[in-house]
Amino acid sequence: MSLTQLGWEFIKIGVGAFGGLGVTLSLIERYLVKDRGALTAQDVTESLTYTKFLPGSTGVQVVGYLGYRLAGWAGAALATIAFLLPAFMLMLVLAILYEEITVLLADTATPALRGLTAAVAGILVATIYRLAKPTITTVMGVAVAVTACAVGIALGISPAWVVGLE
Amino acid sequence: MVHARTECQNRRVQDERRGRATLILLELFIYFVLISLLAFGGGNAVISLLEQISVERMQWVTPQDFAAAIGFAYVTPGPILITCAFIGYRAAGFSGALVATVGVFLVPWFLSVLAAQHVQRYIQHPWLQGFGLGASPAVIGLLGITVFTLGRYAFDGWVYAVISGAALGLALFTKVSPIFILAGGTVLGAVAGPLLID
Repeated sequence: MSLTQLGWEFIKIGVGAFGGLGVTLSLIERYLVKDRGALTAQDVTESLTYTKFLPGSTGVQVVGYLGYRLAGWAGAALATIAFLLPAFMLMLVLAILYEEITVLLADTATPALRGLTAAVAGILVATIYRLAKPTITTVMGVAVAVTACAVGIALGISPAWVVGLE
Repeated sequence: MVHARTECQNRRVQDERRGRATLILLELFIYFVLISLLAFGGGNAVISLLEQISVERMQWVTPQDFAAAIGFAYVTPGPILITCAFIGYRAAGFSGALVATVGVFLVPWFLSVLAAQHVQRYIQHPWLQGFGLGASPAVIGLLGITVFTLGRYAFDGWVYAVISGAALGLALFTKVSPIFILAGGTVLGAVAGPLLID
């Protein structure tokens, strides 16, 4: 895959990655694993495994990690800039139009945002299934995954952003 | 002479203003780097810290600005921490947005690429293989927490559960692009949500 193709794929991922990490993973899985065959599902899981315990935005880290796997440091830099560019430009436009947008957003946003979030949840479950299939092959693996999920929910890991949204 | 003095004062005021602008950029960069280093588990972990610093401590934005910024971050694609671009813009214009964005993503990005480099070199090492074997299922399991958190926010009525189920089915069994599934969910939510309340 050439650098131009790499940049274009990550711009596409950056444009579509609504709703955070879940959709980012699902788009990487679709564009780079399924469509182009440039990466495997195991590569994606690996990028998650070794970046999740590092501090910082996991989405950007997964993109940087996979960019490096595809084309070294140049790939890592290009993938990340391409991935962030759409979000950055859009945020800039929103910041400039801020006063008008806020009024608009307050009236119509909540149900639309709930619909978006619900769709994200569904897509994320599908992505988890796709990532888990080649990775979790033993009963032990299933046990670890379920325990991690249950303990996380029980401890109430970072529900802060939900509060921030409402 | 009077003239010369005014010019001198003007210059001083200008210098001061320029100095203050540079200072704000520097502060944005340093604070956002620090925040990024505390974001264990991802951007969502530091949203409240981000609020404390940019609203209360540094007063770059008002509480209303911050709430809007978080809302915007959810309706735009990409990571939640792109909120920092908004905060940077309110604090210091375009250069503020740029500096804030670079600040909050640079070090974690660098760490993850370093990890990629070293994992590739030592992937055959039994310790790293052992870690991968145990940690990979755990990391996938952790994604389940996100599903749970999303669901708790979104499932305000049965319509949203239906949207979620439909999204799951489409994503698993069809070739429909996730982007269209998201768009469909958003439109359905916007249309059906208000009906639910009445």
